[in-house]
This record gives sequence, structure tokens and C-alpha cells, in this order.
Amino acid sequence: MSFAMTLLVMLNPALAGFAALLAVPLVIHLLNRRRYRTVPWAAMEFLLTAYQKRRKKLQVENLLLLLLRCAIPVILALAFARPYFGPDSALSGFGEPQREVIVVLDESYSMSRRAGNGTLYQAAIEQSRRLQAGLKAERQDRISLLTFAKEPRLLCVSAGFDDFERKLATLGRPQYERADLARALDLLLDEVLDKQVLARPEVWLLSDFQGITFDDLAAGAADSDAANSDLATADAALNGALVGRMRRLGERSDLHLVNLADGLLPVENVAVTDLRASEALAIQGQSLRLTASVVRQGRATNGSGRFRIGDVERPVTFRYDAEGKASVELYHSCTSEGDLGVEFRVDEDDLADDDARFLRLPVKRSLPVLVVDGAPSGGDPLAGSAGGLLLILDPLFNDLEASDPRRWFEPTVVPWYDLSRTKPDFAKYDAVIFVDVREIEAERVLPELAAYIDGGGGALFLLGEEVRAETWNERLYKGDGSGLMPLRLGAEPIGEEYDPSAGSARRDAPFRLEIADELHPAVRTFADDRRRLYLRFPIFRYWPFQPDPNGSYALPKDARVVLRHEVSGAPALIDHRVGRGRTLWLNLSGTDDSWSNFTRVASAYFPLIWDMLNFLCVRDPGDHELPIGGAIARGYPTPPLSWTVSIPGGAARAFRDPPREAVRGLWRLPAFADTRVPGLYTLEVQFGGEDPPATELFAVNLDASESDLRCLDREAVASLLARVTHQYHAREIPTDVAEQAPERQGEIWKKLVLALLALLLLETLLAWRFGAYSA
Amino acid sequence: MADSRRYLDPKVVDRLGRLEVKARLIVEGFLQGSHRSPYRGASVEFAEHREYVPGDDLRHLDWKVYGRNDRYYVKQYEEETNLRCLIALDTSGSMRFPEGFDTTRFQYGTLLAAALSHLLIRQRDAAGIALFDTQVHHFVEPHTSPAHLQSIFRTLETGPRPPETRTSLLPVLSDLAERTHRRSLIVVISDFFAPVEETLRGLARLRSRKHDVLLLQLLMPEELTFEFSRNTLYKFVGLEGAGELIVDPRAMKAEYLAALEQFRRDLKRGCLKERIDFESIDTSTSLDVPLTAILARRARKASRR
Repeated sequence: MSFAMTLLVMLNPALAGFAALLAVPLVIHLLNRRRYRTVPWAAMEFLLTAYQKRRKKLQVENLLLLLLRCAIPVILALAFARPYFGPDSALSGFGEPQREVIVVLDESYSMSRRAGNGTLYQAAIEQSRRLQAGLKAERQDRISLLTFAKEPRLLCVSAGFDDFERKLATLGRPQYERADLARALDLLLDEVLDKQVLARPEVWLLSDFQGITFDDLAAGAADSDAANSDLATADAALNGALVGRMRRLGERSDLHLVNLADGLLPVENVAVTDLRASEALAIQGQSLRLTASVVRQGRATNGSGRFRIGDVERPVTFRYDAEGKASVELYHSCTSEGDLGVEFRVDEDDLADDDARFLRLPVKRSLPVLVVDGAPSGGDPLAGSAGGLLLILDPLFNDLEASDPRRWFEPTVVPWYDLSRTKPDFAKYDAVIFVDVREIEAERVLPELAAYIDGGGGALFLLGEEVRAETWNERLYKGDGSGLMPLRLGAEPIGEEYDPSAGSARRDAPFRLEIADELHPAVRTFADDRRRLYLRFPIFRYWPFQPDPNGSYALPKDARVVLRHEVSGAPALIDHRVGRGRTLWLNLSGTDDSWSNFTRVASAYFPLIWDMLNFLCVRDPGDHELPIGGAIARGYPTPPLSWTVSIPGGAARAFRDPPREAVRGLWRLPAFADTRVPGLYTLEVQFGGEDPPATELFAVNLDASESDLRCLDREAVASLLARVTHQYHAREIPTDVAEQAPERQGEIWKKLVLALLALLLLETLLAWRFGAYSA
Repeated sequence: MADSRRYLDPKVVDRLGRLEVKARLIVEGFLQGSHRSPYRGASVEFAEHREYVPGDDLRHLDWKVYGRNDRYYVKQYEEETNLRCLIALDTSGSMRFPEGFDTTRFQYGTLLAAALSHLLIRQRDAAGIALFDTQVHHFVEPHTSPAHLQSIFRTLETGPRPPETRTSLLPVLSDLAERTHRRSLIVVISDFFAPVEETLRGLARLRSRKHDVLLLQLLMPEELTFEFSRNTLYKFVGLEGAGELIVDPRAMKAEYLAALEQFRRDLKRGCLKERIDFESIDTSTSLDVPLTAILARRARKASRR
């Protein structure tokens, strides 16, 4: 119960009546004036002299003591009455000290975890509202809001409550990103804290304290322990590490850590962490393998899910291994050409969004490739130097009676000398293979080839006996790296051709290859310990790339070595990106048995050629696999009129502001970066005239690491942040700082009690000083 | 013999009967103590030998007797002229302080005057008494006769004046100067709670008549310490009609003591200027202190002759 007054309101107004006790000291004072002992006194003259001297001072002292004694019961009664300054009170500023609160809200994907009726993120927003409710505008309290996932977002700084509430209302759901706490702390330390009025504002970090978010913290703490012997080094390291930032934050603010996941039941979460196809693209009618990786946290031993490939749905069941992982495979044959959307989804759990993963799979009828034969033999391509290669690419090559139309590669052969005459349209092919070609005609063929590669085409160069190095160097190499060749060729090949009649002596010291780039798609078949042995075929002769005078190979910035020679380390296979296309340079003859056993070792020859060609045939690899927030950016040789981006869930956004000019022959659409939801995005582009519309799919997936919902508990936080000054709160903000009833916000009873104690002390001191107490 | 010393305690003596007895006991107690000196003085006419005691003037040692007996004796002489001493005792209202207690200032003064008279007459000196307030209202001429002692005692037993009786030393001292024709030792026993200038003017008149003057200021312990046991207010009622004051004595102590000290300092400084001996006596102390002071002064005078 309370009643309003102009300045002051009381929770227990009845107790304020005890303020009448102020009469007690007055009565005592008056009674004491009547109670005295009479003493006849001879030396009255001196007493009167002394009294004259002290009379005014005595009166002041007595009055002061009387007032103090009257104030004591009044303040005591007020303290019991629990007064507070009402919202309209001009004195409200005297209630409690001003507060400046910085809410740091984790909006990483793991905050999507369900807890009770909502998610942790909703709980965090609710706690933020509670925190704000404990503030008071009349007291000039201020609040700031900083959210962080991958990027920190400073939504408001030292703002009013309405602004804070508006910003809070815009927070719909967490980002599909991993939290980068270090960047958020940097922003806090470098900018936000400097903008606060108070020297020590309150910082409230609301998070689920996901383990992976604090991995760096654990590393920093470990470093600090290890480096205790060298404190200066340890401090320097800590200042850079997450724990160092936390420590600085603790020094500059009242740091509160609210662990929203503390006390929740053990995590039961199944996450699809990967979805991939056995090939980078699918051929119509050809079967390929789809593999989904599933990770389980919890106790389940079996799981179920379903593949959705286009409109086809294929349920699957699987079993987890001892580590809680499962690999789910499905073989599928695509029937129609174009982009195919693939989704693998498991049964929904507490964290719904990581239950599915998406893949865009380009499906083609076949992959047309142009084979330029450097040593043709009459009219039969299979009799030329490229004959073996052709059979690898297409076993049914030139088999006119073959009934099965399904082909992965669809090779076309042209002798090298016919290239300039026939002037083939490179654009019809997904890749071009130059097999032991003497030279490339400079005036008509080379410009076409360069334009083809620059526009996204791929070319594989197999270098054999026929190659004229000086011509290649002259025409295809440029010192600034813009040529098709990444390095100059040496003057002549190294090694001797294999001659069976010369005996086995020269076979005893052959050259061998090793993988230089394990992750390169061109050698993906060999990227395990067992299969990499297939690459150890003997090499007797090869074209060396020319090192610089220092003996090192200065590759252009867009080139990388995929295979190298085992002993010398010299490049053997170089991937060189040129414009939007790329070239692959293998310094072995891909056809000549006398140069190496490459063509004889089918387990090496077949997969390496296929992998290289598949790699070259895939346009813009990776552009259709995006992380959350990744931009959809495409360009077309034809100017688009309009385009539409369909977002998972059915919504679509149409655009009608076409690009005004082409860049390097492409009309680029403005990047669409609003990919905040995982799923398959569809881009439909309309062109004018008779050009058919283009449809492309983009798979947007969240960071798989965010599915690891193991969170730190109180002990873990205390251990990691042992040197950080902080207060830990489990699940909720304490009631005494949040959700204070409005009437409690300006309570001053604590101040009154302090004032009472001060008055008692003052009264004692003055009474002693004035002589009212004997020493 | 040792019992005789306790009669130097005014509280003990005060409980005894007649003043004559009190005076005799005081004097005997005084003489029996370490200050056992007859104070017979020095004269041209030899009287007798007495065994030397510490404090005797070495000039009076009889070296011949020492040569014969190897013991110290001093020679005593009959005075040629007896000492005349007039004791003036204040009887004003302030001498009644502290009224209701064992020994008031007046009682202490009375004992002191009686003992002194007894001692003097016992030594064949002439002793007289004067009681005064604003004027001398009783006066007994100095005389050496033992019978004269009784009249002194009777005069002293007339008691103090009413509380409101004031002190006025200028007319009193002027009157005493007029009444005492022969050079005398005039011992004034009072609290001297009167204007200092007035007191000094009166004393100057005595000194102008070549009188030797000794002031014995009697102050009670309460006046010297201003300590009050009770934690309450006190109403101070001024004797001699000096008014009233209700006050917490603890709040006034420092200023009061300063004022009192200033008064005593002024009085003493004035006395030094007039070559007047001044002795301030705490009435809680033994009576031999003032007696010693008086007799030492007498001895000093005799030696100057």
C-alpha cells in the first residue's frame, strides 16, 4: 500500500507517524532544564566570566545537539516507513545511483535451442527486458544493446528505453552463424565503453556459453597457466586472447555473465553436418552417390531421415557409431537436366535448423570435351596419341552400334593442325584437352582459347614429346601471370624415354609424384593414404617448369601446385586460374608409354583424368554453396531484364533494376546477401527476346560447428575466468537488479539507515566535544 | 606523639570541641613534626642551648660545645622585642563555602588563625585578631599574655556573617592600617574574592605603614578543580548575592579554571610588586603548610634584624 505525495511516497506510511518521537528529545531537554542540583558557589565571578565567554557558543552547541537528537527518531521512523521518490518526484535522482547497462546478447545459432516454451534466444530477450525494467529514466539510467554472432552489431548506445525496446523488438531469431565473442569484446572495449558516462558501467553478457565459443578462452587460460614462469609474456599473450579481453572487460566494468543454458537438461541434438555428392556434377541418367554426415549428441543409437532430391523423397534409417556419427549414403540417378536441389533432413529435435542440410547439384546430359590430338594418326582418332585417353573418357567412343546413350564425357577429337583451320567453337565444350600438342596457333586459335578460358572454360594441357617449349613459352607465358601458362617450360624434357630393349637399369631410378595439395578436387580420389599409392607410378621423362634464379618456382597468385615430383619438389601438376576459367598443366605426357607408366596404371590414369576433367567442367565451383549470409552473385553474357530470388519457405523477392553495362563480357546482377535462413534459394533470371530464362539453385547451409551444443556450466566458467572479475548468474538475472517494482526503484531506506548511523556518530562526537560526556 | 600529627588535618580537628583545645592540639602536632623548631629567634641575650636539628641556622651553632662534647647545639637568645602579629580573618558570605560540608573555608581559616595565635603567644609574641567583611567588626589588639588567647578564641567563635555579606577589602585594610600603630606582621586570611585592584590598593596602605603583610588565600578543592560527579545540570547560587546560573559545569570547566587562574596570577603579581607575601592554600591540605609558611617568614624577619 502506498500513497502519492508530491515528492516522496512511502510504502509503510503508518510507520512515518513515529516521526512524532522527535518530541522525545525536546521533552527530555525541557525536563533537564528543570532538573538540576543547587550549589552555593563562592567563586561566582569567575563562573559568570566563563559563562559570558561561552554563552553564545554554548547556545549553538546545545541547539545543534538538540536538533541532532530530534533528527534521529525522525530518520528512524522514515526508514521504517520505506520512502521512495515517486516517478514524478524532482528528487528521484537521489534515490539510487545512476546505472548504465550494456546488454551483450548472443545471437549465434546455438541460441535457437529450445528451452521450455521458447528458445534460449527468446529467453535472452526476455531477460534483457527484465534488465531494462530495473532501470529508471528519471535517474538518467541508460542502456546499450550489442548483439553478436559472427559479426557484432551495436544496435543502440546509451539509449533511452523506448529506443532499446524498439531495437529489441527487431530481434526476431538468432543468426545462423557461429559466435565470434572476440570481435564483440573488441567492439565493447574499443568503442562502447568509451561512450559510457559512468566510469564502470554494467555489462550483462547473455549467452548459452556454448563450448566452441569459448574454445579460444580455454586455450588462453591454458596459455596463461603454462606461461606463469614468464609473466610478461603471459600477460602479452593474454591481452590478445579471449581471456585477456574478458579480463580487461572485467577491470573496466561490472561484468555479469548470465548463462541461459545452465541447468538445462543434457543436450539431445542430431545435426546434419555435411551433404555432398560423389561428383561435382551429375550426368543425366548416370548414378551418383549422395552422402550425408550426421552427428548425434545424446544417447540415441539409431536415427532416421530422408533425402529429398528435387521432388523425390527417399526415407533412410541409419545407425550411429561409438562416437555418435553416422554416414548416410544414397545412390541416385538424375533424370532431368538443370540444377537439382538436394536436401537431407533428420527428425526434428531441440535445435531444428541443423536438422537439415542442402546441396545444389548441376545435372547435365553429358560433358562435351574437345580433345586436341598432338600426334594424330590418319583418320582414326583411336589410333592417334589420344586414343587411350578417348577410351578412358568414353569407352563407347565411335561405337555407333552402342545402344546405351548414357555418357559422362562426350569427347570430340581434332588434330592439332586442323585447329586453326576448323576454328572450333570452344564455347560448346565444357573442357578442352591438349594432348602432346606441338604449338597453338597464335593468331586465330590462341585468342579464341584465351577468351574461352577467361569466360569460364577449362583446359587441360598434357605435355609430351611433340611440345615445342620455346613456342609455348613465347605465346602462352606472360611474366605478370596473366598468360595461360603459370611458369615457363624448360628448354627440353628431363629424363630419357623408356626403352624396353635397354634393360631395366633405367627403370631403377624413375621419378615419382606426390600430392602437394590434399584438398584439391583434381586429386580427390587419391586423398587418402591407401589410394595415394596409385600415384607412385614410375616416370622416366617429363617437361620441367623453369624455376627462377633462386631455384624456387614463383607461381602467379592464382596458381597452385597440385602434384609435385617426389625428390626435387618440382611442380608436376599446376592449377592456374585465368579469369573465370582455369587451366591444368600436367608436365607428363598423358599418352606416351615411353615417358611414364601413367597410361599403364589404370588405377591412376583413369581417376586422375576424370577428376581433372570434372574439376574443369564445373563452372564457378563453390559459387552455389554458400554459408549463412553469403552473397548470391551471378553474371550472364546476356543482359537480364528482371530476376527473382525465391527464399526457403516460399517467399520470393523480385528485382527489376538490371545492370547497365557488362564487365568483361558479363552482366552482373547485384549481389543478394539476404541469405539468413538455411535452405535452397532459387534464382530465376528473365532475359529479353527469345533467350530462355535461366534458373539456378543456391544451397545455403549453416556452420556445422554451431550444432555442438555442449555448454559451459558454472564450474567451467569459474575455471576459465578465474582471473576475470565477474558475477555469474544461472538462467536468470537476479531479482534485486531486475523487475524491481516501480515503487522500489527510488527507495532510500538504506540511505536513511546510513544517515541515521552517521547522525548517531556525529551526536556522540559532538556531545563529547562539547563536554556533554565526561572523558 | 605520632597521634599529635593527625591534628594538623583540618577535618580531624574540626570534629574536636573547643577552639582552644583545637589550637593547642594543632600547635603540638606541628611542633612535634619534622619541623620541630622553636623559632625562638635570634637576640643579643643568650637564653639556653638546644640540640641542633636539621633546618637550624648554622650561624647559631655553638662550636665550643661541639669541641667539648662532639655534639651539635645551637644557642638560643631571648628576643629583645616581641613580634606583633595581627591576624585578619575574612567573615564574609563567601567564607561559608562550601556550606553543609565538613569544613568550610571559614572553619579552616578559624583553625588556622587560632593555631597561629596559640603558637605566637606560646612563643611570647603578641597576637591579635580582626574579623572583617566590608569592615572590621571585631578587633582584638595584639598581646603576649596567655590569657589574651582566650579573648582571641572567643572572638573567632562568633562565626561567619550571613551568606549575602560581601567582602570589601579596601576599607578593611585601610582601617587595619589606621588601627595598628606599631610595625606588625599582618596576616590576612581570606579568599580574596573581590576586585584585585581594590585589594591591592588596601594592601598598599598597609605597606605604607611599614607593616609586614602576609596573604593567605584559602581555596576549596571544588573551586580549584571544578569537578562535579553528577551528570546533570547545576544551579550555582552565588554567595555574597552574586546571582545564579544554571549550567552544565563540564561545559564551563575550562573557561572557569582559566578565569580563576588569571585572578590568582593578577593578585600574586600585585603582591610581588608591593613586596607582600602571598600564599595560596588548598584547604584540603594539612594545616602545617600555612603554619610553616608563617613561621618561616617570622624567622626570615628575625634574621634580617
